[in-house]
Amino acid sequence: MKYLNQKLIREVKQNWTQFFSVFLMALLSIIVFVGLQGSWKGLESSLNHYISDTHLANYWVQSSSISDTDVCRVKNLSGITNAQSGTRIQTKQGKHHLIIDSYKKPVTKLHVVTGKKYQSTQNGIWINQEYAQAHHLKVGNDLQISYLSRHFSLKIRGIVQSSERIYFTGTREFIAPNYSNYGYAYISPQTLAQQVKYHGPQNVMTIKGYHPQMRHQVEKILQQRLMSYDNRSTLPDVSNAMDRVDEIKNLSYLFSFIFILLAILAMYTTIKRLIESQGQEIATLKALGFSNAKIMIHYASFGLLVGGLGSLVGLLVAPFISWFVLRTQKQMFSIPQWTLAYGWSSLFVVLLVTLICVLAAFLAARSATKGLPAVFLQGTKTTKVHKIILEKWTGLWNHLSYTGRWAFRDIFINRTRTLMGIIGVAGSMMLMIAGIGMPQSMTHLVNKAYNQDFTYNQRLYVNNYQQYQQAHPHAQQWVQISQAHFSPDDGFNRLLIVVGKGHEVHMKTQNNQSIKDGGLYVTHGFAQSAHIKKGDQLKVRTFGSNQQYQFKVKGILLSETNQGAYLTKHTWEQAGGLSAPTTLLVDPNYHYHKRDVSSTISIKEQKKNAYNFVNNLMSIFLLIIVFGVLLIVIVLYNLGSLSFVERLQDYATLRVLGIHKPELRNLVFIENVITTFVGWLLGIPAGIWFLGQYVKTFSTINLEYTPYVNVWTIVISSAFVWLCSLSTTFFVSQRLKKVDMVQALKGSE
Amino acid sequence: MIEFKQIDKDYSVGDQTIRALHDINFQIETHKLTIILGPSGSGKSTLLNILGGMDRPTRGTVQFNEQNVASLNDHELTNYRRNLVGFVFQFYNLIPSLTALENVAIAAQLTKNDANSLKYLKQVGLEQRLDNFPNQMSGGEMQRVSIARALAKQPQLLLCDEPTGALDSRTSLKIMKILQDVAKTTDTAVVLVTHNPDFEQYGDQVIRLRDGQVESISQNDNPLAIEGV
Ligand SMILES: Nc1ncnc2c1ncn2[C@@H]1O[C@H](COP(=O)(O)OP(=O)(O)O)[C@@H](O)[C@H]1O
Ligand SMILES: [Mg+2]
Repeated sequence: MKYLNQKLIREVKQNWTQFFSVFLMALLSIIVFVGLQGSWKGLESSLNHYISDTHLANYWVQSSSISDTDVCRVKNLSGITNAQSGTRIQTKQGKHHLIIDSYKKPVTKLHVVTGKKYQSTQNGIWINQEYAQAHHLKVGNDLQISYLSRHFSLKIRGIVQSSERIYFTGTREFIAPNYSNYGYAYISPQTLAQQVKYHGPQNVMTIKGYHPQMRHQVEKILQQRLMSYDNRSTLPDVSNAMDRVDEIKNLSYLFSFIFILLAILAMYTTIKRLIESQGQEIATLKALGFSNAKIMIHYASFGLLVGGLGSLVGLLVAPFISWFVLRTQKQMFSIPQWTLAYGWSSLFVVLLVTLICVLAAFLAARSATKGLPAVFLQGTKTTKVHKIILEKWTGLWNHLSYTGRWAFRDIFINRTRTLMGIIGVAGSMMLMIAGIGMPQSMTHLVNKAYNQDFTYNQRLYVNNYQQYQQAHPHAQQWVQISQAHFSPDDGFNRLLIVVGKGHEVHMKTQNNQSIKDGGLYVTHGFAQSAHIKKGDQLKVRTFGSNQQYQFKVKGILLSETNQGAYLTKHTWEQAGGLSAPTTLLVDPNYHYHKRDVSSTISIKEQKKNAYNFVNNLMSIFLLIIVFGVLLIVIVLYNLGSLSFVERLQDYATLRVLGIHKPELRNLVFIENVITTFVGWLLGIPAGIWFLGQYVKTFSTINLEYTPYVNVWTIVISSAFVWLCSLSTTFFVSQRLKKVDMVQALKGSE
Repeated sequence: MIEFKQIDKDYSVGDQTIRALHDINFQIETHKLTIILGPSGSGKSTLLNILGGMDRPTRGTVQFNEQNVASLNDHELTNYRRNLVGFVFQFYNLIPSLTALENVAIAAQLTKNDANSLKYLKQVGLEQRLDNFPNQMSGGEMQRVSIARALAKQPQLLLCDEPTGALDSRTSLKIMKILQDVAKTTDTAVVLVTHNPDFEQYGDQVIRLRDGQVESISQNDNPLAIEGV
């Protein structure tokens, strides 16, 4: 065995490019799968620890008023372990927004970063870490706050994080956190009464526990006072974090699937070919008296060496990738403790990759050890050659040159090799289209939302609609946004948006119609998950009212943001709905008085915020593109070079017969172009389909992601794949220069 | 027609130099079958490769008509092989996915003479097998296709390196007969390399090699004609 091992090492050295490529493919597969798993599992476990350590609530309710009886009734529901009412007020600290909650006994425990624990008997304020960081606030500082027209100063007692605000956007108008502009804080009920001088009713309730009919119960208890109801899957502050885990998880599974499939395919072919080229050696070993088992074990150790080594190095590198991805997520999510975590499936993939390498080596060696050594020593090839279907088409076939016939027969006869080549190219196209298409789809979503669907310059939050309307009867365009319970629906409350006259809202239906009077328009994502079709009757009850209205669904809107429903003010009022819009969408030159408006948001801010959101994911997409590109280069190079090596002898013969090098190179190109073309052609629809699946994994209750493929995605992907494939042929055909004609005369290997 | 003048061929292996051929001189004539005979390792293949323009000598000239083949560049050498030389190999080197006829035709096409490939397959007695693939034929049949392929180019020089090396003696004789006929009836000079001394009697000229040097050259005015195979 000692000599066999020496032989092993020498052969690895001799064929090091092939070995290195298998090593790299094993390495890349492991890095991608384990690396991404480390990050989503890490995010998941960081989240889970945080959630359980802080006893995160399960339901959140906003209401115009909440009494102790209401709280009691909720507490008495089966499965509910705790319910607390409190008060939420929107205050300002200078130009910035500070949302202050006041609970006697908060359900969700606050995580204290520095300073004192939250106590309802203590005065002062507890402020969130990110806001404090953005404004260099420290424990002991005094904070100047204004509420309505009152101003007061509160001492910072503690810097905190709340698991109710893992992803805190401040308002639904933003899809990404904006920590410097929006903060949240906690004060005791005492402080609320004495310093803020708030004497209104309590307006929020947090609930811990599980009740199967919670939505219905809350509606029953609070009736028309109910303003919003959320659970962990709908509260964006929490659901975004949970959804992100699933997003990265699905993405990693989906992507790794193609990735590992491609890598396995190329590894298998490479190893198999490498060992098949050792046919004579194997025959010699057999002739010398080595047992089949010994020979197979010897060659299987090739696979183990290279596959195992690649996997091992991959395992060592993967945590860096996990950490890199998690670091990008740290900017978005407010979680005190970040950890990496891995699951058994990582081990499974490591074993799978190694096993495939061993198996490829083993099977190839086994087929080589079958039969008598003499057959192999003679070096006769035994490919079954036959006529192919194409030949039935005699008109075409007879017009084909002999080299053309040769190429086509080889393509049809060496089905595995051809299939590998086609899958390699098609898989590469899929990776490229999905890799490029994903960030493009996201960017497209932002552009469509803020350049096409909405064209306002600013959103004004008007203090008093009636007054403002009387003073400015021509002000446009009013929108009224409220949470609503649609029936039938998919179990989640959504937004009903009533749009007034104006020209700032432009979203179109599937039939390219804009929103018109006479019915309800449901967004596509909502329609899909609640199985709503055009023509259906939909009941709607907006929160804050007890009235239920029924509308006919007039169209399905292609709008990605804010999954819910739209209708015109006219239709709303005709049905008996009360008009009380608070938002005025205005053009750039619109003049207004500061005193009429409580706050404003510009579309520019929204767009910038949305781009932040996209950019946060960009590093993951980029990572995937980089690894994808690496893999594509290796896979295509390998498959190309293998099919070249397999025909080297024939090429040498042709050289002896007097074919010129450029002619031979053309021949090699033709063969490659045929497989590349087929793979490419199949790869385009497959890639678009894959992108669709890939993009879907990012959709949430509130946002629907749709695949967006433009010509450039296809052009760039195609260009890259063709470039890789053709340059492989080019590089490989450089070896034609060194084709040893003398060798060809000595008979086959 | 073709003449080797003071040909040397050195191979360098590591820092050692192996002299495969030393001071080789001989002539090859049209209408003659030249047999190059010698034990294994004596330099037969090396000689044939230089003759066929697949390799260059280290020293000396290969005079073919008016030109020195040894000084041709790669492109010219390819043209030399393409237009003037036909090869027959020990292991046939047919293209597995082309039929017998197509294997012949692909070579014929290279020289751009619109030769009738069928004619050459008939000449080697394979008109029944033209639609067969190499793996459906016996070794002797494959070698005959290989000869037909070489002939289809209507070469001035037909070079055969141990064409019967992988064949039984009866089939070998058949092949020898074909080659003899080619030399006799066409304008193609035939050179055959073998280590088998039995074939000596069939050649018009026999060149014996030993350790890279010419041991003897003998002319045979009455070679034995092969009959009845
Ligand atoms: N490519 C090469 N490199 C080094 N030595 C070679 C090479 N080809 C042939 N030789 C050597 O040249 C000598 C003649 O070889 P060859 O012409 O193949 O002999 P033959 O065909 O008569 O058996 C041998 O000693 C052989 O080892
Ligand atoms: Mg030889």
